[in-house]
Amino acid sequence: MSLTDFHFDGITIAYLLVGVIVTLLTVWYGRRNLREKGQSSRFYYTLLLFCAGYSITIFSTELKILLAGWEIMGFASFLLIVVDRNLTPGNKLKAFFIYRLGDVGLLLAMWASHHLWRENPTLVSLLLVMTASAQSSQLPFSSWLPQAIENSFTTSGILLATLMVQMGVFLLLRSMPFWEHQPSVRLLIALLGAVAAAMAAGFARLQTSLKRRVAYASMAQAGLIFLEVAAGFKSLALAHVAANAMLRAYQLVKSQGTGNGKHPVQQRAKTWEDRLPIKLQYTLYLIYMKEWGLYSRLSKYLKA
Amino acid sequence: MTARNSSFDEQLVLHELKHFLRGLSQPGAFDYSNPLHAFQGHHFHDALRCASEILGYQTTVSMEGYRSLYNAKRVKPEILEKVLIEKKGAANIFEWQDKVLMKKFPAEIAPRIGQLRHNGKNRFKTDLDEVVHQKLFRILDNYLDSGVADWQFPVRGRGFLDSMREVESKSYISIFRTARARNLLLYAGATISDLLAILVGDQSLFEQYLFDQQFAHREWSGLVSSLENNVHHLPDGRTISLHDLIVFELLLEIDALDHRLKSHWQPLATGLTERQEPLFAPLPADERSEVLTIWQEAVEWSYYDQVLSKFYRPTRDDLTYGKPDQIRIEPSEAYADDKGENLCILGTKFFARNLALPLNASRHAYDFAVDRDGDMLGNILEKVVPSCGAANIGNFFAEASLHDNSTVSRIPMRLLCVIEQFPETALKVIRRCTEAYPWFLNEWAHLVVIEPQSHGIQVFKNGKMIAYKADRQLENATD
Repeated sequence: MSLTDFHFDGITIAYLLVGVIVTLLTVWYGRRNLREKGQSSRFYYTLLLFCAGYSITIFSTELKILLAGWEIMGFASFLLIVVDRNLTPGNKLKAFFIYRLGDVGLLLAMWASHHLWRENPTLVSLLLVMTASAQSSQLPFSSWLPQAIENSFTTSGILLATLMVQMGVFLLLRSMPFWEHQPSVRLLIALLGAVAAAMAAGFARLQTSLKRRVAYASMAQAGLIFLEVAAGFKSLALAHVAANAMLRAYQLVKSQGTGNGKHPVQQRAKTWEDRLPIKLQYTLYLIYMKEWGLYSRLSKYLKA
Repeated sequence: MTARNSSFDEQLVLHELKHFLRGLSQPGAFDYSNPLHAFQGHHFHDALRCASEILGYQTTVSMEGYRSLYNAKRVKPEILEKVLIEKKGAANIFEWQDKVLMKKFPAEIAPRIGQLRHNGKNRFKTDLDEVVHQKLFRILDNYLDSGVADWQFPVRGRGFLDSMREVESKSYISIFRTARARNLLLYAGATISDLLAILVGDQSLFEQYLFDQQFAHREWSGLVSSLENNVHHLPDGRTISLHDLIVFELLLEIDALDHRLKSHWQPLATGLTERQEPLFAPLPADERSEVLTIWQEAVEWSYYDQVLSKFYRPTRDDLTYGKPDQIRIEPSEAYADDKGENLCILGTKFFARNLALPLNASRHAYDFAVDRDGDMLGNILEKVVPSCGAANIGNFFAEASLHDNSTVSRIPMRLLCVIEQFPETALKVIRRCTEAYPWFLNEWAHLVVIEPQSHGIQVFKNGKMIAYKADRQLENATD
């Protein structure tokens, strides 16, 4: 393997930088927090595996190598979720199934790109979009991220909420040549992103647990980034990815420090929602509290 | 317990539920109020048995867990033998040794709580908890949130049920999926017994149903019932009560059944063929629970014995060896929670000087010579025993460590109080203690008195002081 086998461009550099910073932050944070839980060595090995998968993915020149990295990364992040070895059926396995679903999309896309490219580029693009959207916790696979983060250590949560979620965007950016001349696919990506952003932004405002809030906020931002990518603003998307990753990592690190020991506030300041007409306000609140019914519907099908 | 007849008294049942939910305010974290509070009048092992077989708490290590402790030599055979003789008499020792070490017992006993609703699950072919809990918890979580969420629950200054009514009446979409539950909430002003009449039917089963329902999410119910008394803990003038929670949960359950079975369903009681025992009917000790009791005693005394043997210094040894070396008690993390103090030592500095005590011991300077009539001792005991004791009892409910059968890392233990004093004085003092005495009498905590001059050890048992022989002492005697 020579140096030319690596792909090295703006996207790679951006992802590499974000990856290095977040990983170092995780290591530093994990050193403080995991030792007393006795899981630190297992965590670090998994982290190394994750980094390997991450690097292979971002440096890959072709879809085959990307898939290899993708698989390693998916597996490592599942291990990160269950690093406490407390595997409750249902919640954590959901992330695993959604990853697998994404992998299948990628595998099919690879196969289709060899055999069907001339006939049907739309199919390949659709499969790629499906994989990206599963990875970035977008519609219709939107519920795995909050549950995975809520049920795992904060250290794992940082990696999931920052690096893992943005890999879907990476896949879209990398595969841009496949779909950028198809308006219908671009429209689909934009639509998925916009709806997910609108949905997750509301969910994030309602969450009573900090981890879940960060997860939904991350998901909303990923939706916006999808929108930017679909519109062709590559550099803006990259800057957004980096900024979002840093902010979420910061929020998660901070959340652990203050904990949930908040003093109850007797009277809270009014928010913009309070100015809505009362019927609309109640309706919106109920819709968002029910998480658009997605949560319960999905967990019905994905009960392990 | 109050007298029970077939008619249903809402206030009385609510009161009793709160009584049993006390001390469960936060999942996993108990305050110093006693989680076994409801069974406080009972002897310790009876209370544990009731908590486990009636209310479904996991209160002891599993049978295999105890046996693996024995195999790992953390329960000493001679201590087990001693406990067996004490509980069962020397004549039956072989029979019981076999039961304790070998006999197969059914792995788990289904607690009485939850059985009625389990019948309901079979009859309705619907797991109500599964359908209702997620929605209920989400709503409760949002309503009770104190400052994490950006977008607060939109209704201010009203109770839980009123808030739900307000939202339901003005929102364009409904909380419920069917019309009946909605109408019951909005227009009927239904009481708990009205709703139970729809769901359960038979009045004599109402109380049991409510206990089943609330203990299926005891942490939430405990939180609600403690918030009911601490109104100022909630922001924006919100209030919640157990009554509101129950009404709302019943409505959600009716809604779930209506949705699932399309109103083709009869109350639970109509299809019930066999009646189970009332929840709080007397619960005699069976063989399994007796064996568990023996194991728990043996585990605790294996550890305490190690501690007590350090206090025992035969004068003969003093002459031959001079000053005894500093003795280390083995680190006790294997035995008990690092955070809890399960040893409490009251004595002079001299008394504890030679002991490298484990971290989980709290030491109180107390001089028997100054305190001839024991007033000081009484004051200390009244303060220390209820708080330390409750913290230790709380360990019996730290679910995570007990549920995991493979690693018995932390074994809950009762508090051991070691006092340097003359036994007669100590006995007089503890009998005067109104707070602490029931703890010792019902064996919720152990009391050991060490005679200042001879260093003889006496244990308080069944209201009397009994001479105790530490393990080391036995060894010396046989040498």
